[in-house]
Order: sequence, then structure tokens, then C-alpha cells
Amino acid sequence: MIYSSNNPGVNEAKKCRLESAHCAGLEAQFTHDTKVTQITSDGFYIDQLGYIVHVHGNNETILIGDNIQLTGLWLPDGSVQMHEWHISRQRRWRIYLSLAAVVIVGWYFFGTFRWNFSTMSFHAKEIDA
Amino acid sequence: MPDLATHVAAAYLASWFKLNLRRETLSLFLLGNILPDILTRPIYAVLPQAYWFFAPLHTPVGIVLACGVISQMFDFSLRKKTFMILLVGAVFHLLLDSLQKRVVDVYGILFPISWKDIYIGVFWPDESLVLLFVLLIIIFLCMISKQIFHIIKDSFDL
Repeated sequence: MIYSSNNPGVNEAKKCRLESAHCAGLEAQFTHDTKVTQITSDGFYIDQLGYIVHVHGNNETILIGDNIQLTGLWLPDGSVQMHEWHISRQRRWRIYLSLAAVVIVGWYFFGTFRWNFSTMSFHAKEIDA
Repeated sequence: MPDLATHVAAAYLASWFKLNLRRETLSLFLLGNILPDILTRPIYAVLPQAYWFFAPLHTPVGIVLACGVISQMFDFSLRKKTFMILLVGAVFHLLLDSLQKRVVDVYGILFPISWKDIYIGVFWPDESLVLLFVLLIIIFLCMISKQIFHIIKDSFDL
């Protein structure tokens, strides 16, 4: 076996697309960068970092382009039987809000501390009460 | 996980329990609250294949190491305080993350012993937007209350 089934350094789709026979019966977990690319009669296709996997399961609430987390079981033909899933539809808004939060915290931080090039360290600014 | 705005709002609200918090302390506490995500998410956005390489920075062990390194960037007199406050903020972040439901274990709280997560699972990541809305209302009400209190205090010379 080329890839360890518990090695998190290898993405799930790539691992079992290349070794579908070894993965049969193992738990499938998809979380990061997993998008729905196509709806089929018995499920849907997902794309994880360029690797496409057919997922068998309930597709009633699933739309093309959805970011999805799912667990299931690898089948001998390299597809997955889905057990549990969650679709994240507000991801873009959360990213924008997160960026805004980083800007606000950064602004507050640099309003409180200044970088001293002579000591190459942050010092607290003298701020009037 | 909850978005960073929710983390910051929750942290700001938590800081209200300690009245008259110094600006430096609040600043470091808020920075600590966003630290686990800013150490991992930007790299993930640019290079998603490298996610698991940097994922340990979002674990308690990784956070302790990161806070230790970052505190060295501060003046010697501030380092110990900086380390402690950053760590408290980061732990608060991880506690809030533990309230999030998930389908797959992704945070590795027990790293390096295990990649398994320990979590309570109260809301889904997208539901944190509702939580953010509630937190902002509470913060607004707290600020209004503080203003009203000061007005009353000044009016009656209390």
C-alpha cells in the first residue's frame, strides 16, 4: 500500500482514487475543499483538490457548487456510500467577516503597540487615558 | 469553525467581566483569539494541499509554541505577560471551536497523541453568523448601559 489510511497528509480523494481496492470498506472522510460538481440520479460527484469522486446518497438538498463535509464508506469501485454530511452555504460571508475582524484587531493592536527598530521588538505606546 | 468576527465579539464580551482592562491586555487577548486561525487559514487558502502540515498550529501544543515564539517579538518586560495573555486568548478560541458541530474531526485537540477531536457540538459553522448577531446586540446593550450608568452617575454626583 502506497498511502497509509490514517495519514492525514494525503487528501482523501487522491488516496483512494489511486488505490480503490485497498480502500474498500474503509471510512471515507471529506472535509477540506470538497465541492459538489454534479448531481446524479443516485447521489452526486465531489471534487477535492482536483480529484473527482462519485458519492452515493441523498441529494435532495444538495446544489452544484456547495461546499460539503461528509463521511461514508469507500466502495470497491472507488465511489463512496455517504453516511453523514453537512453543507456550508454561508462560507463566503464568513470569510468576509473574518477578514474584517482581522483588520479591526490589527488596527487595535498597532494602535496599542509600536515596533522599535533599535530593539527589534514591540513596545506599548504611551497612550493618554 | 466560527468566523473570526464571532471569535472577536465573544472575546470582547468576555473581557467585559474584567472591568477596566488595560488597552494592552485587551489588544493581546483579542490577538490571541484570532491567532489559531491566522496561523493556519491564510496558508490553507494559498496552498490547500499543505493544510495538514500547518494544522498542528491550531492545536493546544502548537498554540503554546506559537505564543512562545510571538512573545519573543515583544520588549523583554512584556514577554511573560504577552505569552500568558496570548495563550488565554487562544485557549478561548479553541473552547469556542469546541462548541461547533462537525462531521469530520479536523482540529486534533489531542495532537500529537491523536487527531481525534473532543467537542461539545452546539452549532454548525454557518450558524455562528446568528451567534455573531446575538453577541453584537449584547455588546451594544452593554455599551449603552455603561453610557447610561455614567450619565446617571454624573447627574447625581455619585
